[in-house]
Amino acid sequence: MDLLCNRKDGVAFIALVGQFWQREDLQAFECAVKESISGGCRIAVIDVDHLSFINSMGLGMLARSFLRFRDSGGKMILYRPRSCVLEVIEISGFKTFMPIASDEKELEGLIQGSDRIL
Amino acid sequence: MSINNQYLEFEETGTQKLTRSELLQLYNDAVRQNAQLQQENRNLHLTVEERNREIKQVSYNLERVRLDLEDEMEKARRVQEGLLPKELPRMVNVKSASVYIPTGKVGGDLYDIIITTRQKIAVLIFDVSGHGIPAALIGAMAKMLFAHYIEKLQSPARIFAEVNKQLCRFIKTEQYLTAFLGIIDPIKNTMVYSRAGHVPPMVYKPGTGTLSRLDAKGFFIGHSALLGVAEYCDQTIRLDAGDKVLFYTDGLTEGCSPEGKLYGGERLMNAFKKYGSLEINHLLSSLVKDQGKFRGKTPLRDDFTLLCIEVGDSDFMLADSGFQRSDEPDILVINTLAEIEESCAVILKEMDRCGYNDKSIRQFKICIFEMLTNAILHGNDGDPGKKVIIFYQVTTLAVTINVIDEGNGFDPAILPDPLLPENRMKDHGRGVFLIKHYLDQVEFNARGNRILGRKFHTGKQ
Repeated sequence: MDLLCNRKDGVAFIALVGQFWQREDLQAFECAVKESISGGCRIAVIDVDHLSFINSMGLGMLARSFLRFRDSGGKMILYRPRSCVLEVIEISGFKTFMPIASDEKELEGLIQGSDRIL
Repeated sequence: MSINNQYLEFEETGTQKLTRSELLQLYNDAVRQNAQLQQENRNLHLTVEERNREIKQVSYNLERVRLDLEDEMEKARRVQEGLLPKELPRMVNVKSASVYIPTGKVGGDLYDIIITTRQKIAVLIFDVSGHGIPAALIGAMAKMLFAHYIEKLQSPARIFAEVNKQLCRFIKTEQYLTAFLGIIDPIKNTMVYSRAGHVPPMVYKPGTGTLSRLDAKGFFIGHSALLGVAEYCDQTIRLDAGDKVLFYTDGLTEGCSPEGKLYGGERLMNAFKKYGSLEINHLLSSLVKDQGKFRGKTPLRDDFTLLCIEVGDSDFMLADSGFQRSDEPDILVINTLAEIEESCAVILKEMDRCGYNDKSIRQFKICIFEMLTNAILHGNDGDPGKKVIIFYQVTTLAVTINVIDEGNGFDPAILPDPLLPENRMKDHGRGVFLIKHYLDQVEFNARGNRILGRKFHTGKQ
């Protein structure tokens, strides 16, 4: 898996490319999340547009990261999940707690909503 | 002879007299000749000394060449021994043991056990004619070719034909090799084999106490005269639980007694029968001792190899798998997370071949990953020394997978529901939930170290 990170105006953009299940990939993602929080980001956008596979280990890491951002007073948004990833996320009940944006407009709305909340 | 005033007189004959001047001339000649002889002697000494120096230099150079050659041979021997497996692979339902007895020269014996991606067990033994660096080079080349074609083809005869074709192109000497290849199906308990002029392996059946040889017709491999001529054939043998197959090279049977008698195939058969019921490592050491006792102090003429396999009880192994032997499930074995993708790809490829739609394949992939990560991380506690055995069967009706780990098992009934509000954000506990969601049938054994999952074919969409 490839992990692409970028930060702008207090928002961390983390793109996951490929398959998200191997330990080292999960650890790399967790590091990126921790660095984003310690770097002052209060919002994380996890771009999964190019994520082709996720299993329960990947889901578990997403849930843990979500809690990390929430506990630091921030928010984590899942961005552009493909149908194959979205299906697993929905089945696992993530939609009940994790904001998901399917396009840029929805993402902007969620980020602005976060600003209001924050 | 005496000399008077004027003449040199030979008293013995009294016939020849020399004048003083003639005598002086003679004396001077003698002095000159003496000086000449001394000079020639000095020259000869010098020449001898020079030749000695040259001889010393030549013998020094020869010694250096000999040492270089010995060094090269030692390296070649190490290369050749490096091609022998350090340890034989751990296999499902099959035990193995091997012994290689070197003679100190660079030999031509090589063997290997290769587990194919479908967990068939390929047992290969071959012997390159001659010794030395050419034999080691040909051995290395042949080993690579065998490994390549064993993974690619399933018929030993076809593998031999391909290796022969390749080697015939490369071997420019008169060398060749003899080989035997058996491919064992550990579930069906069968071995398909082919023989390329190699000494026939022996099968000992402890159930009946019988012993047989695995004869099969086939040319040796790699000689240019065999290009386009050599033919090989496959034969199949049923192996029952406890049956032992002994593979060897002719260095064993060609061992000689002090009286010059050959150890021979008959003695080996008798020894195999005598020690056949021993555990396979003890069996091999007993056979080596038997041959050594026969040879006495006669040195080995050729290195030799002994390789023995013993098949287990596939019914017993399948008893906990949810499959019958008649189902003929395929089998995969993994030990680590790194092996999951490759194993999964084998099953998914088979699903694709049987016309499963992309969605089914994708969903089944998630289930395989969940089953295998659970088995490795939770069942086996991440211990790479423990196996996870996967039985699977893909038909046009359903795909069935059965995963067994070596752990103590767990109780699936006490798994929490990950959809409950208090569990939704937890970082674990979704694996079995996803498996149950995506599969049509999920069962655990009583111990909780085996999971069976089935998904029915819903057609290509």
